Amino acid sequence: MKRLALFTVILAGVLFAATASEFPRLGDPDSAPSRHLSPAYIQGSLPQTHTPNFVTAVLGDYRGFDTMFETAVVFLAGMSCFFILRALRRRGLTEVYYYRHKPTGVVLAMLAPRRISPRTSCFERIDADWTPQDMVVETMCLFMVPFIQVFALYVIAHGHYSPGGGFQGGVLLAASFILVGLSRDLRTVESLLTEKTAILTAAAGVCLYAGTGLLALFFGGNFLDYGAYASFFGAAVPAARSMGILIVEIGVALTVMATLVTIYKLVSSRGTVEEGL
Amino acid sequence: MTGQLPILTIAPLLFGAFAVTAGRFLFRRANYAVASLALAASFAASVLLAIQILTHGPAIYFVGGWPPPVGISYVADPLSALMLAFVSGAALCTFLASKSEIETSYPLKNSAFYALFLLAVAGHMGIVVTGDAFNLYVLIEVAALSGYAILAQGRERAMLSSLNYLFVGSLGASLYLLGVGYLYIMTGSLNMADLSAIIGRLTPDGLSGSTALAAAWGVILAGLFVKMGLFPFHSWLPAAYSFSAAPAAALVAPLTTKVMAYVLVRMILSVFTPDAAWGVPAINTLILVLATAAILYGSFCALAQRSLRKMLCFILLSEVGYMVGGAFLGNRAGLTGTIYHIFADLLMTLCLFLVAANIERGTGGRFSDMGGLFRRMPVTAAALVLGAASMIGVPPFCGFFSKWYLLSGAIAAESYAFAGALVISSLVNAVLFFRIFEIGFFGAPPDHTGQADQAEPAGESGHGHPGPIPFFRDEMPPARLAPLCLVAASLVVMGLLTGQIVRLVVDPILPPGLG
Amino acid sequence: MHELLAEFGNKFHYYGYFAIMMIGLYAMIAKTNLLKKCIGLGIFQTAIMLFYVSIGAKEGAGIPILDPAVGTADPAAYANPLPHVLMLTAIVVSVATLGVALALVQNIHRDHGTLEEDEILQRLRGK
Repeated sequence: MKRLALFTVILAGVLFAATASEFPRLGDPDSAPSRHLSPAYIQGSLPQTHTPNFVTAVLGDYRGFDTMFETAVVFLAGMSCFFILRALRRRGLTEVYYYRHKPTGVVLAMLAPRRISPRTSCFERIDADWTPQDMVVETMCLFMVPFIQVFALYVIAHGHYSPGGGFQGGVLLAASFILVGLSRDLRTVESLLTEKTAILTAAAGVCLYAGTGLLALFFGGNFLDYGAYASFFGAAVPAARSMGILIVEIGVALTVMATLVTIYKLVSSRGTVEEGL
Repeated sequence: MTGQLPILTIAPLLFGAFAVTAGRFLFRRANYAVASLALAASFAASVLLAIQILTHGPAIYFVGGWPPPVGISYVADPLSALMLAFVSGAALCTFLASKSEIETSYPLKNSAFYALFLLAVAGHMGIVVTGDAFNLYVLIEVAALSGYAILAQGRERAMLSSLNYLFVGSLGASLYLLGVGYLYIMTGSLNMADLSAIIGRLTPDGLSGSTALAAAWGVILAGLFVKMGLFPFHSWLPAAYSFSAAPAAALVAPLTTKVMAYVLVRMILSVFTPDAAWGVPAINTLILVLATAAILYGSFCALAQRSLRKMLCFILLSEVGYMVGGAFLGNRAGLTGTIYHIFADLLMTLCLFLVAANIERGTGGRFSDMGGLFRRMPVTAAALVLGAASMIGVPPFCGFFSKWYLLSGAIAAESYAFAGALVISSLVNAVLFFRIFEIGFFGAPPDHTGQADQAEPAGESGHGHPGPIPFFRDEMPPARLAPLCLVAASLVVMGLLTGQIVRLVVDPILPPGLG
Repeated sequence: MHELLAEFGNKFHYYGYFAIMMIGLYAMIAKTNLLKKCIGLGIFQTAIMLFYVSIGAKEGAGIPILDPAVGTADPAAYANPLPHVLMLTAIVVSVATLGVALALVQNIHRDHGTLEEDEILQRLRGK
């Protein structure tokens, strides 16, 4: 089996290599992709969409329809993980619940979960198989979180002018939550961004994107034609397009953040969203 | 507003999916109604679009207001408009017919199922109507990703089968993406019409003039064959469709393979022209051999199966062989047969998978459980007879006409092995279904078997007979039967409308010079 | 000989992508561990992304963001933005696929206690 696989793979590789003979050399300024469409984007981006970052202009406007479905794919991944993994009925995964008495450090094992309020009770819930990091790591990580989030907002908002945009910013926002999960525990993440909020945020993000597209129909434009909002914003068409790109980037960021946090929570806790990394 | 119809076919599904996701927390009881409404709206828009296109001619929709090579366009011609109506109609019928099935198969997660279902349908419809090669890739992934998730729930093996489907499906989609990359590096464009024009300019004498473009066509074909489960790449298909819960299979099985065959036709007609696509004889012969092998393999494996859904999966494999083979016969009749068969097979598979879902719920899906089917579930059994007759190719049904076109194409192309495989497959289908009819008419139901064995001689002497099973004993409620009856009836209607469909839908999109 | 070497020098990056792609394909075919198959899929998709991104390269061009000092009169001054956009989409799609694959893998591990495909099949057959 392995020999056969190796043989097939080498054969396919040789075949593929044989097809490369007509390809342009690396960085050829006269290759078809460099000459056919890209000048239209490079020269049209600023006058048509007021966006100096050509990648953002193509992503958010010229090929915004791709990006909308791409956001839908992210949302879909979150829903799929939820559908596959989420254990809605408690069965067999966590049978013992551990509570630590804060002043003495004594740990009690209970067979049923107890409801304790984290602020007033002298007990705290701890994970069965995950010992939290020590205080230095935890404090430093929590200290980092606001900076990561501010930087994420900058990346989203500045995507028109520099590398960045909704996906990158959304991932950074998700990273800040996941850092909390890694340095503290999953329940803290759950209390900051509950599963319900996360799913609703993910749906709201894609809805913001698709809604921006659909609303353009009522202003007389085609789907995703942000130029139709010119009269609404009281600005010229390129400025309206720039604004439209910003709105959909925010939608993308919301969906990416919420979905990645949801997937992290589900996968790290085997679908229970109770304890895990 | 009629100019906006192409996008209005898909928009309700997207917003419906988000609404049911939010509805999980807000208006849970109304969720099923919301999802059905979204599907119905999409179906209505598709039908309106089809009527508009058939009366006023094709339309190109510029998404974002950008004209084609720069932006993404939606192309609604007679073929894609009718396909949209079929896909959304099939999805609506599946959804209406499997309400109770969804609620029992996915307890507590049915809202998530509705969202995945709606997005899967949106993905399939987008594939049909898009005019951009890269947008097609994104939509293939939208359609496939929800398929992986909903097929994973079911019997114990479903998870593993679904994961294998994910590997193979992603591999196929990646190969398609690589093929589009080949096209992009050679032409610099992604729009299908633009690509077609540039390819025509680069290789005026057919694809054999350029290694890279021929390789692009080969890689795209390989990707599509993997996605539709043609013979050597088929192993994921029966496993993924037969171990999952019934509603998921009833949605994905009729749509995915047919929509992928549609993409194949679209690639032949809109990106490469038929002359170029059929320009390399060695590739044509190889694909015809694969298609013939797929038909025979599917038919003979179907003979070995002991449960209805698994048998249907293998019949599906041979149907894929029909469609691929017809597209590479290299003549007008063959391509007409393929296009017609995409529509016909969508209806037939839909009908039979809905029947299989009903039978699994009513009597059990194994052949041994299905004794007395015609008394226990007469309506479902009648639909089974109609679907089977169409599958076998009995004259007034649509299955007959597609086979007729394919056969005449095969004979015109002098491809007698393919023609022979078509005939053999019809005969095997007849054997397969008559075996089920026999069990359904004469077999004893399993919960009666113990008594029936003893009662048979006793019954002849007049006492001790348990009595005939009451009619309709295991029949499904009317809500499940109505969509099924509609689909079964449409098999005949479509057969009777064959002439009009070929004249209005197939002829306008085939190039006039095609022999 | 010299021309052949020059040709190889111009095309070497394509051979690299195809080699990476085939490594990924090999992992998907030959490995029985489901997680390794996931990794193989990732390698395969990454090779295709590299292929696309290399199309965007242009000699003497800067990043595809407007430089006020250069202006847009000469498109040759900027790299082609389209492949970047396409690959941003493809990367997100592959991440989403990987997420779903991991969810499935985890469920399989919960049910069977192993990730070796042949062992799982054996257990399923045994029942």
